[in-house]
This record gives sequence, structure tokens and C-alpha cells, in this order.
Amino acid sequence: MNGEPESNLVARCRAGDQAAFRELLELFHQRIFAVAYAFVHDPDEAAEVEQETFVKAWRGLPSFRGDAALGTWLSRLAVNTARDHLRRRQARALLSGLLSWRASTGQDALDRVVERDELDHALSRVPATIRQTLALRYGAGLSVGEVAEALGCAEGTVKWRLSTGVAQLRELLVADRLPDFSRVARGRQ
Amino acid sequence: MHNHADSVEALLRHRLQPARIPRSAVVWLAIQPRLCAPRRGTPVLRVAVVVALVLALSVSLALASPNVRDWLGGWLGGVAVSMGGPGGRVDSLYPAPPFTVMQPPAAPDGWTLLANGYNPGPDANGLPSASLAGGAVARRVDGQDVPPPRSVVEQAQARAQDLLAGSEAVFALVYADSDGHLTAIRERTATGRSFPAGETTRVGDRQAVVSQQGLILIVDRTYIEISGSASPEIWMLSGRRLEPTTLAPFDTPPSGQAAQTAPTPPAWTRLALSARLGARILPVASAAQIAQQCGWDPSLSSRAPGEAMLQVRCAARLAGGIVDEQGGSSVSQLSWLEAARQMGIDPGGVIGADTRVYLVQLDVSAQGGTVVVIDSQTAQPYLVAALTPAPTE
Repeated sequence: MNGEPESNLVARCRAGDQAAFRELLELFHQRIFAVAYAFVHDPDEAAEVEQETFVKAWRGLPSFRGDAALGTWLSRLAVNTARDHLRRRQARALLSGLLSWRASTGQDALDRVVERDELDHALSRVPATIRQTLALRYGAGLSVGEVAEALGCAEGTVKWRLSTGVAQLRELLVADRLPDFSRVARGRQ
Repeated sequence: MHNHADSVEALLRHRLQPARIPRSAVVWLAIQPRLCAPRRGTPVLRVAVVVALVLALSVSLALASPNVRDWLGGWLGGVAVSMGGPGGRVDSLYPAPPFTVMQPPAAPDGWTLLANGYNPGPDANGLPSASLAGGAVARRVDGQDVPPPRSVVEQAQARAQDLLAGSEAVFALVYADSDGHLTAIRERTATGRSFPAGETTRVGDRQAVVSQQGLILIVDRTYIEISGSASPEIWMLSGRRLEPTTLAPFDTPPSGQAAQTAPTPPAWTRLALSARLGARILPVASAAQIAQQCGWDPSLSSRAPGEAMLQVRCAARLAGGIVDEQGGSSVSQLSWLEAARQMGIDPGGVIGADTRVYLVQLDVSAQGGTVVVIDSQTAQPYLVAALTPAPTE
């Protein structure tokens, strides 16, 4: 927060201070993009959703009561915007987004294809609510509490979906074909 | 087992996290222009703007006759916009704006008018008036609607809403090119305004300033701002093409209500719908067929007005048995009672007076056209009728 309390930043934004809003954007930009990406799974569409989210935030800040943390409120806004976006475009389910994955890491391409196919296939077989919860937790990196806030459900529900989702995926994936994910994880850091 | 769970989580992180994130400066550049407009004021006005968007005019860029005017304002309580000039230009506004409306004679080559709007400012009691916004959302090519990408239409309409916000009279136009670049033109009174700080230039024989707000011109009584994601060269081109518009007067009663209480018909009522309603015909399609072929979604109008207009036009074409549109078209959403009143027919008792309907005019020209009334929730076609030829001037 660069030392400035969140409430001060919000107050300045409410007063129409665009410089303050830019600070807010700097603070939450990566997170909101990640949330958007978790839903639409396309960088260009995620950018579109992120922009729409911040414009809505600018307009909606006067009604922000501070019941939730600013980041949580923005995440919820992003989730709703992403859902609207998907609905508007009559997008197919999250899996469809996954299938149009555009990775640009330096990892070996063949490994990526194998992993993608296996995971996509497995993800296609778990319920959409679980897929979205997994995407927000592991894709956007939200905490369990933040996922619950963003999806409007209880933390217990999120924990259940996560454990169920991981368990289902584990069962669906062929154990002896799992690649060395520790190498993958290191590559992301 | 636990290791497998960890592996699954690692795989999920790898697969679901974005590989690259755009720079925040890029995001800021994209959204900053949309923050410039003052926040929309009262809920009343916001609702009005949304309602107005639902009313979006879908006007062919090749309206067959400049005499064809479609009047839509009455139910909004006295705000009216008539589009019917060459190239789909606005040719009448009510209440009249306190500035000269400047419009290009036609959209530049490769550009499409996606949204327009008019906020006449507060009414006599100082309350915000309804704004009206619409857009030519599709072109007809080989008998098919060719809409711009939905995201572009939505951006244009959001931009129009932003431009219309506020408490003073505003006229706005938003164009897009085939790459989705927008050019927005906002016109307000020049009274009390002067050029902002910026780089002085000339647009044709007019003085102008390129400022943070875009290209600024002051022409006669009008303060014009041209901005958007298109290049400044396009702003200059747009500025050069602006011409003063001679608006046809709405002949209105002293009450200020353009139609609801009009004791005497406006001067152009010889072209009004009630005067042109001809023989009724049976709808060619049922609600179920419409839903099947047009994908009827009644909530679309509140979420994606431009898309909703395409849906409504599809339904109307189907119900009216229209294979290929040639003339102009318009869509308005209103109560059945008001629709019946505009058509000059007895509303009867079968359809509820407050039932929301779409009143669609298709293929409109001085020679004829078709009127279709469709239930806005169920897509049930209530009425299909021909338009008789308009009387000559």
C-alpha cells in the first residue's frame, strides 16, 4: 500500500482523484488480471475483463462500504464481470477456454501438450463450480477466504470444492503418467 | 498419495496462472479516457440512460428517404430524437439543444456509427432529463446483418453513456473502424467555454486545439470534443467533416411533453405511424419459431442493447416474413397501450395495457414498409401490418 491506508486511497478515488485510482490499479492490477484470466483463460479477453472491472470499480467506489477488503471487493467485481463476459459471448465452459490455452513459457512444448491434454480431460469431468473454484485458488492465487468472497459462498464450501476437486483430478489423472510437477512449479517462480 | 495431491496442485497452478500479464500502464491508458467523464449522477438519470439504450435505434445507414422520420420520444416523457437524415443522421431533437448540432454528412469510409445520444439537460424543474442513445449496429450485406464485434459495440455504447452523463445538454456520436478503434464526438454549448491548454492547430478553416481531452473545436455556439482510440489524424478528419445540422422542429405543445399530451399533432405527423398503418397480416412465425431461430433472450436488452436490437430485428423479420431488408428500420420498447396509440388502433383487452412490447418498423421507405409488434418477454408476435406509401411533400 506504499504506506497509505486503503481507506485514504478509496476516499481520494471517491473524490475523483484519478492519480489515486491509478495507484489502486497498480496495487491490484496483477490480481484482477489473474482473476479474469482464471475465468476466460485468454490473455486478450482477460485484459478486456480487467479493464471493464476497473472502469466499474471507478464508477462503483462511491457505493463501496468497506465491509470487505478492497482487494476482495475488486475480485468479486472481476468475477461478476468475467461471468457477464462469458455469458455475453455465450462462451463455452471454462474447459473451452482451457482448450484455447496460449502458453508462452519456455518449457518443453511436448511436455506442455501432454500435461494439457491430461489435465483438460480431467477438468472436463469435474463440475463447473469446482473448476471455477480451482481456477481462482490456483490460477488467480486467491486465499480460501477471498475465493469464498468472490464466489459468494462459505469458506467451508470452497475448502470442500478444493479438496474434492483435487481428489477427483488425482483419481482421473493416471498416477504413473503424472510428469515431474516440481520442475514445472520451479519454472513458474 | 499426498505427493500426488501436491503434484495436482502444482499442475493446476502451472496451467491456470497467466503466462504473461500486461503492464499496468497499458491498462491505465486503455481505461483512463473512460474515467474522464463525470460519474453518472443520480440513479434516476442512470436508469433513464439504460432505458434509453434499450430503446436504441437500429438504423440502416442507407435510409431510403430523408422524409422518413421515426419518432420515438413520447414515452420517455418528452425527450425525442429523430434519425432520418441522409446517412442515418439525426434530423430532429426535442427539446431543442442550446447549440448547433454538428454532424458529418455520412460516416467516413470504413467507419460505422455505433452509438449516438442526446441528453437535453435538466428539465424546467431542474431535474435530470432522460437521455436517448442509439446506434446503427449493423449493416446489411447480401441480405445478412453484419454487426461489428460485440465488444466494440458495447465499448461504443458505454462511451456514449459516459459522454451523455452530466447535467447539461450534450449530443454525442461514437464511430468505430473495422479494427475497433473508436472516435467519439461530444458537443455542448460553447457559452462560457474557451479553448483549453494544448497545441493550437487548424482543422480546415477552423481553429482547434489538441489537448488532453482530445481535439477541441469551437464552431458557432458549439464546443466540440473529438477523442477516442483512433489516431489524431482521424480526429482531424472527423473534425473537417462536421457540418451544421438544420434540425427540423418538433412541433410541441406548451406543456413540453412531446407526445403524451400533445393537443395538436406535430408538423410531421403526416408521416406518423398512425397515418401509415395499412392492412394487418398474420404473423408468419410463432414465438417458438422465433426463439428457435433468433435465440430469444428477454434479458439481453439490459445487458447488451446492441445485440438485443439484432435479436429483435431477427424476430421481426421472421414474424413479418421479410426476406431482405432494403430500407430503414427502427426499434422501440414501450407499453402495448402506447404502441397501440402510436399506431392509432384500439388496444382492446386481449393484451395487457402495460405489457412491454417491441414496436419494430422494417424496410421503411416512402413507398412502404412493415410494422411488427412483439412481446418483449415472450417474443409472441402480436401484430404485423404493412405501411402505406407516405404522402408526397
